[in-house]
Amino acid sequence: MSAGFDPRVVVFACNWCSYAGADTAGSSRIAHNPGFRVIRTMCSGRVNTVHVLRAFQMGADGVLVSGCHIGDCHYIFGNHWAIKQLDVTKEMLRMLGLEENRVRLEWVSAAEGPRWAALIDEFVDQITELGPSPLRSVVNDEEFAAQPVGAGTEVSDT
Amino acid sequence: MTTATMEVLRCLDCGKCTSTCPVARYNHTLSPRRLMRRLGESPSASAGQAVWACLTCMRCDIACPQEVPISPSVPPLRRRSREQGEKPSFTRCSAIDSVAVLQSKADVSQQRLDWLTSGEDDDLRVDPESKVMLWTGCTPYFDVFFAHNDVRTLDAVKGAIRILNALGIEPAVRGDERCCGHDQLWSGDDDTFEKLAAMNVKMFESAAPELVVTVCPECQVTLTNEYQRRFGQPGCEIKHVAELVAERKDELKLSAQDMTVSFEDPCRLGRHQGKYDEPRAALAAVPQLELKEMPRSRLRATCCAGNWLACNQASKRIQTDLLRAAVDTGGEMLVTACPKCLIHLKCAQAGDDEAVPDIEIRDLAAVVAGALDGV
Repeated sequence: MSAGFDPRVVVFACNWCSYAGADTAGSSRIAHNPGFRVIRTMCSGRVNTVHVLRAFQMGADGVLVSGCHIGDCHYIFGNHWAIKQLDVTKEMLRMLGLEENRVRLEWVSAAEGPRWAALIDEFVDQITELGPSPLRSVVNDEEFAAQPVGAGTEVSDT
Repeated sequence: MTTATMEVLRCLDCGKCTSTCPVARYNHTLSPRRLMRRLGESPSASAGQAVWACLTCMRCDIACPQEVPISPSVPPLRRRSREQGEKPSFTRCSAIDSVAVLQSKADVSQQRLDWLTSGEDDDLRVDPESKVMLWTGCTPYFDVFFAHNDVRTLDAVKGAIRILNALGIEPAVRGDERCCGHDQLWSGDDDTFEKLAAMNVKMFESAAPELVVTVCPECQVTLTNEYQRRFGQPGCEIKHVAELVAERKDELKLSAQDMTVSFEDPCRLGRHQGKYDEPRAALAAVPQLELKEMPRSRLRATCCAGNWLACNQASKRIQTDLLRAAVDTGGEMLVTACPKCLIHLKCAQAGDDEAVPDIEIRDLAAVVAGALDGV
């Protein structure tokens, strides 16, 4: 990819496992790529199609949804719901001409700090490799920086 | 002062609009009467959250003795609300709104014809060079997004292709078609609408169709009232498939279908365009298919209450009433002529709520195509 490309990776992390896993990575001081923005949700099952589509609408290049391992969900079946919803989301994005590996669903537990760091490194690298999203064409860097990420915002054009 | 605001001054404050409004019956925050009065008194005042609840179904416009354009006043109000930073309460289904916005980006190359190229329905005959264009609208996206409710709006599209094939026409179905922008236009998102329209107009200019057939009344009304009037494209007739069947029913060989159905008038076909007879004539073309009218039909038809911007319990109650009325006619099936009506009514049926009748709902084009000989 061209030099100077700074990918915009949005990570939805569930409150109970993945967000705590990110915390573990931080407090264990595991160095990893800082090129991502985390949005905490109560459950990976909360992340539905509209959240992911809006991330791309607002100029994201990649979206990672991370929840508890299957069987560990704080709400018993939320991550099963996440799988179903993300399948629909991926199909919608495929129809809109987006490469399928720009969206990913992963499970990270609260103890898996090293795994979180490795996953982020790998995903950000993958998105850097893919380059800018074809759906972000009209969003420039200043506009993107001005957007309050994760505030449930309604964005002008984009 | 805009023309619309001038016309609001004709309002007598009689309240007929609110008494006929399907939303106001269950959602008291919306009152067309109050909305019009506020618009007349202070044209620049905010309309508040109520403005997002309106279905723009034109039930009030029909009832108004002063012919105040109530529904057409809503998009400008919504535009102003957006400018003032007020947002609708986007529901899960506003993903469809995002799909439209994403389609408005110039670089998008869509994969929207998989249902056609998969070979599942190998009897469908299309011809990319044809001067008859079948407009598929957002139906391929609907069927993916609403699959959990068993929504199959593509059945209407496939039905329309089979009907056209039976008439000896192999239509062009295009992969570079974009959302017509109907929802963006009516929700005050003019920016997205203009972009979508510009790209579709360009496509029409190069394709130069002689007839455009739609399965969705929203697409039809937008292409007719906005695209043609403002951009002169497509420079041909735009027909809903029900009109086409009504006109050329004698050329179709339809087998007898022993069933009783009721018909729901989609607001964009009925009140917005005055097309009440065409879908009925299309249904009458099917031998032995009996149509039982619901008490509220034609001008007074109940809306499907579809609104991505403010779907709530009130919407479900309107939909439940409509489905109950359909069951009460004694019909075994409810036929509609709009993919959106199908989606919203199927959504009301989802879940275990016993209060919502489980009547079968199908699209008119699929019903007619099902009666075609040899299909």
